[in-house]
Parts: sequence; C-alpha cells; structure tokens
Amino acid sequence: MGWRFCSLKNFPTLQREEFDCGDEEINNYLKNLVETADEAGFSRTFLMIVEPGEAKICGFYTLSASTIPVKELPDEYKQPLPFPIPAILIGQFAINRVWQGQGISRQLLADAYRRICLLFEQEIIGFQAIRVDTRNEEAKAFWLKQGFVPFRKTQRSLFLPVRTILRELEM
Amino acid sequence: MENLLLTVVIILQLVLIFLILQREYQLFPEGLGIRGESQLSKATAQKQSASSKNLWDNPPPASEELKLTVAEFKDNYNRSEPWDGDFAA
Repeated sequence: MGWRFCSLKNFPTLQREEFDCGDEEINNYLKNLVETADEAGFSRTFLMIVEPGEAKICGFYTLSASTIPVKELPDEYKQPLPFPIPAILIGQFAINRVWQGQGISRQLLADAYRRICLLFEQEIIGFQAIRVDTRNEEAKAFWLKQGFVPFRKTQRSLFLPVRTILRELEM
Repeated sequence: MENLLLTVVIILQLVLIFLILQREYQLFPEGLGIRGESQLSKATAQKQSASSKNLWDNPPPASEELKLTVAEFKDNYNRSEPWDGDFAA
C-alpha cells in the first residue's frame, strides 16, 4: 500500500464524507468548511490519499501564514527586533481512524515539512518558524516529541525554528 | 479662586508628566519593554542580540522523532520541485 500527497485544489471531487478522525470538529471542517477556507485564502489544504484502488483520504493538514508574538517567545528565543516572528501555521492535522496507530502521522507530517522547506528554500515567503495550536494534551505531546517549543504564556501553542528541519536535511 | 487655579495647574502638570513617561516607555522595543533594561551596556546588548540570532540560525539539535520524520522525505527531497505539487510515498 502506498500514499499520494496532493493539494485539495488538485483533487476537489474526492469523497470526504467518510473521513472520521475521532474529532467531530475536525471532521466537520474537512467535510463542510475546507473548500471555503481554501477559496477565501485562509489556508491551503493537503490530502494524503491511499493508493492503489479507490481513492480514500487517509489524512490531511492545512498550512497558513501566521506569526508568533514577541511576548510569547521564551527568553532564549528573544530577538533584538520588536516584530512578531513570521511563521507557517499547521492549522489542521488529522489521520482517519482506520489508519491511526500505524505510524501514518509521521508520513503526513513529513509531507508538511517537505512543503514548508520548499516554501523557505525557494524564497516564496519569508518565515522563521512553524507554529501549531494544539487542542488537547495528547496533541501537545505529539508536537513536543517533534521538538516543538511551547509559547511562554499560551501553553497550548508551540513553535519550531524552520532551520532545525533544514539543518537535518543537510546532514 | 487662586487655589482652584493652582490645583488645575498641578493636575495638568501631572497629566503631562504621565503622558511623557508613557511615550518614553513606548520607544523601547517589546523585547526590552522595561526602562531599566534599556540601560544595558552596548556590549551586553550586542551579546544578547548575537545569542538570539544564534538560536534562530543555529537552533538546538533535532529530536529523535523529528530526525525520523525528516528521514521519510530526505532521500527524494528536491529543492526545485513545486511546493504545492503531488508527491508519492
């Protein structure tokens, strides 16, 4: 079994009704809001589709432009400039229940990192970090394991300097 | 009457001093929001700036989980591919 990663715009007719990640809010987002969010420019959605056979959504994530307020930076990440840190937000990130617990999330996240690195290296947009806003402790633990750093005040939000990934790519 | 005028003048002066102080605080960047910190020596400020820059340019090593995740796409990563293209795994 393999996977294909594509943007929603390249596969708009894909059946999304069957997707169930266990979180009704995220399910509803994919089923009813994702097209509007993409069209309005709130985010870009990327799908992980199972191959071969009938195309089914295994997981999905969204990317948006975001910032990290200076007051949220831990002391060791403080910058001399007073501006917020530009960041790419991984807004939604979910795996279909059927494929949960099989290490699929690593594959999906790898695709997100790949696209973020391309955005940076092709100088399409300037940013320094990847940001996530978690919904619960389980999700937060997932990102902490990836090396994300919690915001100073808003503990449910975390960030990772993009150069951490770029440096790992160069090794 | 004189007392009233004197009181008004004193209040106006206090308001003026307050406004000047407010403006002075805003001149400092958010990262150095406290007035006392702005009086750091130039050397200390430069050192702080350098260390901040280093953490963004040279962040701490990747976690084991991040290394495994990057390994998933490292071998077929192509810097010239379109960022929103299709990828197979």
